[in-house]
Amino acid sequence: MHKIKRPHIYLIILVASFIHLTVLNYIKILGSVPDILLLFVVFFGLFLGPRMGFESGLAAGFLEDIFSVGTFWVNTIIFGAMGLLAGVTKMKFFKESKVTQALLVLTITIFAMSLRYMSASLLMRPIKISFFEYLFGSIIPVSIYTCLVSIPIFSKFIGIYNLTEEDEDLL
Amino acid sequence: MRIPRKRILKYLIIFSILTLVVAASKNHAPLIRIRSIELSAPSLRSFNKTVSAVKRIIPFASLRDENALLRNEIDLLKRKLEEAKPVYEENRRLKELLNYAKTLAYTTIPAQVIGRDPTNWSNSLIIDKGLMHGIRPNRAVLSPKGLVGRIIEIGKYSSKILLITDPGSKVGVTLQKSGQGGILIGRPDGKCKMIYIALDSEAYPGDKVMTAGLSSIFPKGVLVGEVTDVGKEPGRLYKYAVIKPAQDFSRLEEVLCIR
Repeated sequence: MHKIKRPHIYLIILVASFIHLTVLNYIKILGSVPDILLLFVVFFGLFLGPRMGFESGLAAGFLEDIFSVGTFWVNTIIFGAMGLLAGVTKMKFFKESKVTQALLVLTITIFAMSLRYMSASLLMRPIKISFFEYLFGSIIPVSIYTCLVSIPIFSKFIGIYNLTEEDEDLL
Repeated sequence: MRIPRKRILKYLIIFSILTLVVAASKNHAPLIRIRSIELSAPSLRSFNKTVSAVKRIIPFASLRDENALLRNEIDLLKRKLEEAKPVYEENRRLKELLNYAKTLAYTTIPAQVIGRDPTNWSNSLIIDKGLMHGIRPNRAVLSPKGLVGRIIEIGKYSSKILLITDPGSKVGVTLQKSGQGGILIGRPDGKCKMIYIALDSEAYPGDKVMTAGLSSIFPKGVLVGEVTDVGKEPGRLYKYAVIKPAQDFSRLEEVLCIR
């Protein structure tokens, strides 16, 4: 049985957002930083199920909305949806496999960033950046970076919270 | 006790022989001595070296404590030096900012960057100055290296800056060399793109890009960045240029907000 508690999840999300706001910029590669908030949302969805994935996604997205510019609630909705998606995939894939975890982070990051572009195109004034420019300039580098960073972080947190056994939405 | 005569005689003979040998070798003595010294010199040298080494080692034992003390002192000084580096760096940056502020024709408010945008879509900064410090919305924000962006959201004690690299940012700019105008838009990868450059105009990598001063937000003639690439998108009637901002926003710590 895992040891992770709901306050821990919120604390992790809060600390991750503070790290994102302050120091993460110093490890920028090709103008991209890993999306560690999304990474944790995927983690909670994958290991604690759709409910916790959704809940943590809403919290993380809400924090992103607070600290960023642009249309409010967009990130909350996207992150909530991504948490839910990660939670649903928990039942479909072998989540203990590192390859599955990394691929899921990669896919969800690409999906979330594409959704963000689409929402910006719909809600903001017409944006002058084409999707392909955004795809190659931002989506792919960020997704790969997040995917690579997820490998050690997932291993560490799986170890800390003993998340290897089946725990179906226990929270 | 009486010494036997034979023995006395024997001693006398030995002494006589020795006296004779000494008398005979009087001229050869220095030679014999030199040869003997030469023969024993290597051994003497080795021995002397050993003694010297021992002499050198003996005080080491007493210096061990002093050595440890000095090493600790070096570590302490090294640490202090490392700790002083950020202060020195901050001092240098603030001086640079102050000197730059003096050259500007408008009143500015210096502010510290306290947060950065957490998303990979938008690019913004959070600063520690707000309404109470005289910051007003839609005012340009500068750094000694160039244009940073504009104030987009404002609180009592903090504000948000929309960086020129944000996809929602638009700044009227000109190429310094040719005077050709265009619109600078942000890209999520931290670079900018200058669009609406006339097809027949000259734009080359390395050209400096300045603000055009056409709006009420950005003053004229502020350095924005440098052209790194020029191209034409298919189906468009204008050229575009990729601009590298003069200021590296990921390392930016202090800014000047125009009052």
